Amino acid sequence: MAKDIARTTAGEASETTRPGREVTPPVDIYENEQELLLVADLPGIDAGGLDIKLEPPELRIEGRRGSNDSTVTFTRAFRIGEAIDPDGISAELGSGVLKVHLKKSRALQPRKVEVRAN
Amino acid sequence: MLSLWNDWSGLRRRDFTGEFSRALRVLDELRDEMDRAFAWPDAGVGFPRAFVDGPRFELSDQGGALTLRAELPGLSEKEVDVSIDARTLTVRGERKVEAPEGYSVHRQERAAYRFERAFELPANVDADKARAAMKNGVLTLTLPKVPEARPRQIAVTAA
Repeated sequence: MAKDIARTTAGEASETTRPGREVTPPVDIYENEQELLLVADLPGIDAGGLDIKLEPPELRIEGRRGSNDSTVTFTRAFRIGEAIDPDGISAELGSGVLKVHLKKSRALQPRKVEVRAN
Repeated sequence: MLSLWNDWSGLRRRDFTGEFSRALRVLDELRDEMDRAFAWPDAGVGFPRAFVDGPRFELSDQGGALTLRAELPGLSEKEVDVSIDARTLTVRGERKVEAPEGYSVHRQERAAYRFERAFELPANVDADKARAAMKNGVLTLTLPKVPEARPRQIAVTAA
């Protein structure tokens, strides 16, 4: 029993005492007819330190800079539904600000119906 | 369209599991708040939101020079103003956050702010040799100390 507790505690400690600082970056979400746009503050992160992963329904953004004790990790995860086309995701990074474009599935985009005269 | 909003309401912070890590996280947050309260003389007890969301600064002494790092995501070099007057370093800037043209807003966590921070430098620096660089939204200032303020190695000789 005591052994179990020790193991559990050690396991959790090793999870949380990872050196460095963990940051939940602020995010803006915008929308127009074609897409949702995520904007996140990731100061100091370059494209090499950035990882954007889509494992439906989760979209995960992780940015990392520095090494060892001075590592700073920015993490944020979002649930995205079927409204988003998984192949239509693109991202750009500049001045420490990340923009992720999430194209809506075709079914949700407004369509124009042409009316023909008979 | 309504179901789309529901999907997005699932937006969440990083999950931490276990009582122990939850407790550590609470302590971390508390420490951060205390740091902010003491670093900001006018803050009082309320921790104004504008400051909590404002830029993060780090001043360090590298021996031959002092360096200041400031996290200023979204700001270009033209939007930041740095001045040195004797031993006071002042950094000013403004960040605007606007919805891009033609988009509606769902969530706006990124704060717009105007800031002015003054630092009393712990040593005299040579302002003419100071350098400022902006990269990936981080401002790095390098302020070389005047020769008299640099650390010196004293040789120990046998008596």
